[in-house]
Amino acid sequence: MEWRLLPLRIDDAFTSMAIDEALLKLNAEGKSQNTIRFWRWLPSTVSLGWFQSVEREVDLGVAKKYGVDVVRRITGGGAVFHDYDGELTYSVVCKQSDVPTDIIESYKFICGGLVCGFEQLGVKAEFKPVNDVQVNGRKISGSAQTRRWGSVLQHGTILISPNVRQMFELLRVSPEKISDKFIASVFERVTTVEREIGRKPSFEKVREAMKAGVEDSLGIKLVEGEITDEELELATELKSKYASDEWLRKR
Amino acid sequence: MVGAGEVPEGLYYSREHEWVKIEGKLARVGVTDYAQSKLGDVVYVELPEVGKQVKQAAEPKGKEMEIGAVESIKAVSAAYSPLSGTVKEVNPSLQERPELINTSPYNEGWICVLEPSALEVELKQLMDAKGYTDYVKKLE
Repeated sequence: MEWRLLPLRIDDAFTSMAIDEALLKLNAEGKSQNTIRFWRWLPSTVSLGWFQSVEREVDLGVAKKYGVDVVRRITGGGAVFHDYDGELTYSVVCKQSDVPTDIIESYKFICGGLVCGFEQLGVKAEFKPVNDVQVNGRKISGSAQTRRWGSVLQHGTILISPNVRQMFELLRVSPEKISDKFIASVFERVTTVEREIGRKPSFEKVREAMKAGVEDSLGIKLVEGEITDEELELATELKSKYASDEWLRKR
Repeated sequence: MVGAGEVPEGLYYSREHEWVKIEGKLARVGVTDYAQSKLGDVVYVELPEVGKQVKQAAEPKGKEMEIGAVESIKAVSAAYSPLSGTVKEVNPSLQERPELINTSPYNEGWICVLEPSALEVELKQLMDAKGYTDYVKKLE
């Protein structure tokens, strides 16, 4: 089976969320093929889970100070800080019938590609239910999913070398907690590609490794392709929703 | 979890794991015990708007078949309507207590009440308790 692989893109959060939803919608309508893409957030962004409260999760003052955008996803899960310099993000869009029905099994199926990709980079990782990829019990990738209109969107992080201190300033962790001791404890629970292999690979190199990993693990062929005009047009339409205050403050 | 969980007699069931309870001219709708066990802990429910016209779920799925969405710790999943019709009432308790989907899928965790537009024809598309139990067995 062939899936499309899109070129590495760098976009603002609102564009990226709109592209993911456009791919999901058009895939459900049979107008877009199964697709995987790797991309980056510019500027760095805090993304919120679909139902989370913005006030409770993000310090908007700190976000403004650092020039960090804040966006609500259509997928579930928690608040995540996406560092432009430290994270490669992936999105998978496919028919629901092309992944296991059971949600955890479907995470395992898709994350299996990441595990294989990390291995290509020299990092021995494993899938950890519900939706993490870990190295020796430390999270190196987290994913979120939505199932709408008969298709699945799963996107998630690939931590290369994120700024952990900034992450905890942005997410509502009380200031007294952001001590060196707290940061140290975070490093017990989170890891990065840089930390595991002792150097920071290029984003393109990580993408290549993940491409090979996904092909091996999912048993599919990834064919490099471009985003279509129809997809871009729908994404442009959807972008205003993600950029709106109404959507951000939905809960 | 093994098997289909609780599958009460007298209800109708859809392939998308929704149940229907006929109440006179109206139909009460929710998700099955099997579905809630697969979803895991529900943390948020987006209810459909009262007055929304929905269509019975079929392939390919579309937005017009959705009666809201359910977020669990695992994912945000659409709920698909087992019948065509108009949403007459939604379950306000789910706003504050989304976990009712898990704890009481067939009673307190109902999602909405529909006024069906083609009940007789569409009921034939649904399964009875035995049919649904067999259907789930095949999925496992």
